[in-house]
Amino acid sequence: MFESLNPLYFYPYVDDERESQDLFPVKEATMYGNLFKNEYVPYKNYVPKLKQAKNQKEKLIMDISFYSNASHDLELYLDADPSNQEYALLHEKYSKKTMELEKEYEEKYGALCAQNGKYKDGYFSYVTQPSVWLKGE
Amino acid sequence: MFKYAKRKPFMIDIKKRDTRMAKYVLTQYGGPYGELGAALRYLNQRYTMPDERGRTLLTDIGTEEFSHVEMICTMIYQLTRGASVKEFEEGGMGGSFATHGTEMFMVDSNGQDFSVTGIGATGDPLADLYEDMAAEEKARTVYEHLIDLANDEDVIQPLLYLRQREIVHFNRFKQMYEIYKKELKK
Repeated sequence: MFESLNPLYFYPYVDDERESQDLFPVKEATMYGNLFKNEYVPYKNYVPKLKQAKNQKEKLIMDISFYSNASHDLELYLDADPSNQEYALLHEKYSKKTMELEKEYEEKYGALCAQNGKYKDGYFSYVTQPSVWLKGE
Repeated sequence: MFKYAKRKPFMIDIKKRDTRMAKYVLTQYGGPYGELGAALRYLNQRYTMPDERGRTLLTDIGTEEFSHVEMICTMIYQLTRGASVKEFEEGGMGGSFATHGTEMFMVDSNGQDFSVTGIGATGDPLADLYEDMAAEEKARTVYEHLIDLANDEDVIQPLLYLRQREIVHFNRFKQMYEIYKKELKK
């Protein structure tokens, strides 16, 4: 199917060999910006790095992004090839983990989504959560 | 509908102010190969895709592009946060300050206003998907230029992440293109 491709970009297998498909673990996938090992293309000698979480709150928000990003990459793949059972099941697993971690974060620190906002300590907890551009995560 | 969450896909924590770099990064906000153009391009093209696969892929990538718009704006915000008028001038952003003060605006690094003129919308799914692959390649190249111009690890890391996302999107568009090309020929 992909015989005419630029050799710089390799595809995950879409046939029966897809069992051999190699994915980065979720943390590395966020670090590299790519879940698919065989599609990853580095730039010069730059080495992708993740920041160290400064506290428990930051660690949790980073963990959410690891699972959420991996789930999103599978989602994009499944959009084009929705019959891929292996990826669909993995997507389910990562999405479930994302939701669990989001719930844990929101219970501890405040709402990430408006719909999960609660009245806490005199304020609507979605508004007390800082906007993303302010600092760190 | 769109669902917003107060979190980013990749951590950005730029501690060193740099109006020079902010001016360069601005091109991925309002420039011809930027994130805003990508988001609008894909969300606009969704309506003429042949089936739910293409419609959903363009929706999902278009939505992700809006999170990248936010990442780019976060970088510009943090690179200019607390800058004096003199610092804006020294970084080549005096013109921007004259019009917009400390607020950012949708222009490229040279101050050229954002334009939709370069966005392809042909009504032909194969032509549009090919345009999307080209758009991702152009954006990838711009990120490489920005990485070459950067000298702060806090700036380089999110740029490496965003560059890689262009490669992922290129591959998904190519995958969709190849599938449609084969099926539409039948």
